[in-house]
Amino acid sequence: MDAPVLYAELHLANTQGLRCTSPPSPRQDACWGSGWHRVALKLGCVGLILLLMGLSVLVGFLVQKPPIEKCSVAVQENKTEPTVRSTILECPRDWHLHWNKCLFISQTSRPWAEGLADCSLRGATLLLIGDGKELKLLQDFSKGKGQQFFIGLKYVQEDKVWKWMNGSILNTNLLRITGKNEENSCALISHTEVFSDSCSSDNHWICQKTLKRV
Amino acid sequence: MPSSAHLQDPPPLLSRTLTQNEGQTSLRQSSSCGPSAASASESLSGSTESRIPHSKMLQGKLPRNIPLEYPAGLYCCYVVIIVLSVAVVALSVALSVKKTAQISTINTYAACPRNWIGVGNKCFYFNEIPSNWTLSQTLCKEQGAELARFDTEEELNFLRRYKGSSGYWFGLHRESSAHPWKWTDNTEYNNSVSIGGDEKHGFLSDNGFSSGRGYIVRKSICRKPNSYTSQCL
Repeated sequence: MDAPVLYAELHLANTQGLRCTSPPSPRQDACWGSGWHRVALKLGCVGLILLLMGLSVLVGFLVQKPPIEKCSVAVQENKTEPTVRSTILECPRDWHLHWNKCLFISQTSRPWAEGLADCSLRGATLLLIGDGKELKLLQDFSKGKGQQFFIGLKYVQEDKVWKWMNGSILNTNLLRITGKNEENSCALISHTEVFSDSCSSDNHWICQKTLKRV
Repeated sequence: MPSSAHLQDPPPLLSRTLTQNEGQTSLRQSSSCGPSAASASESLSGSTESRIPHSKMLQGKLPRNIPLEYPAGLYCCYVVIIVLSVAVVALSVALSVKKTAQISTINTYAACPRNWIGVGNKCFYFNEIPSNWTLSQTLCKEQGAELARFDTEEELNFLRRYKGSSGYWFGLHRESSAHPWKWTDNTEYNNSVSIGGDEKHGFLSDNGFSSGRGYIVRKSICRKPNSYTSQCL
């Protein structure tokens, strides 16, 4: 019985010794190695992320187009539409209703005589202004258009007076002509006043016709 | 492993004395019971078997892992980092070059002031507020310009197209219908385009060139050289 006792003791001692010595060394090596690797990997990842961010920022800058100021002058033309339109009284197309008149605004510029002829062809006459309200309305119209217009008023050298195309003499209380009273002078309405311009100058004009009941 | 076992001989001797005592106590207990003795022998045999595979695994892992993992991963990381770094540097250089080009571009576009229109080496301004010819010229001068003139067909075509249907004062004038037309700098006009009307101040109409009385209010056009040209000169 003593002999088996000795055998058992030897085996146990060997097993315990190996266990005590072998486990710590690989663990320590593994921990040390794995720790270093993890730190390195983290740093690598951070570096890569920073590089990618830098790349995206630079690409954004390159792709961005330089701002170019667009130079343009806006030409605003506000067409004045008729204020009142009844079912009974109508104007032809392209004409504007102003109280009891239909007005046509020329699209081109020509000397006064050509404007007069154009109005005749349309069965109308150059504009005649009857009162101060109508004058104000037309000056506002001129302002909106940014243009000036010949009307049916001309200086007659022989009589030394301004005459309307219907033969009546201008009432200077109604409107005052700014400029020269001399031969070859025709009235040009602007947004502030009525000028005496050369009849041979190029200007737009306004035709009028009396409104007819439909 | 066996060499390490030999080196560890002295400590086991001390541990043997302790384990002997423990062994004796365990044997006494086992002598009383038959099955417990059998289980003890089995556990001993199991431990002996497990020793060998552990040692083999350890021996195998260490040499295999080190050469395989370290170089491959690191090399990949190095390559990627180098590529990205080069890309960043290249983009930085390209961006700096582009900025230089952009600066010159801005100068080119800024040759005419805001709201002025560049044509060739000139700047044109369309004054939309009607005023008489003399005041129009004064307003142009206040901006370092003159009432417009044209030196080339290109400029004339631009003026004609851009003005629309309104009449615009420009730089031609004369003392009377018997005198020749002149520009605002008093150089004589070459009559390349005839001027309608019989007045003393020229304006652009949609019928070509016309003339009117200077006190009439009209829109106007100014012109001056662009600053880019000035800088070059």
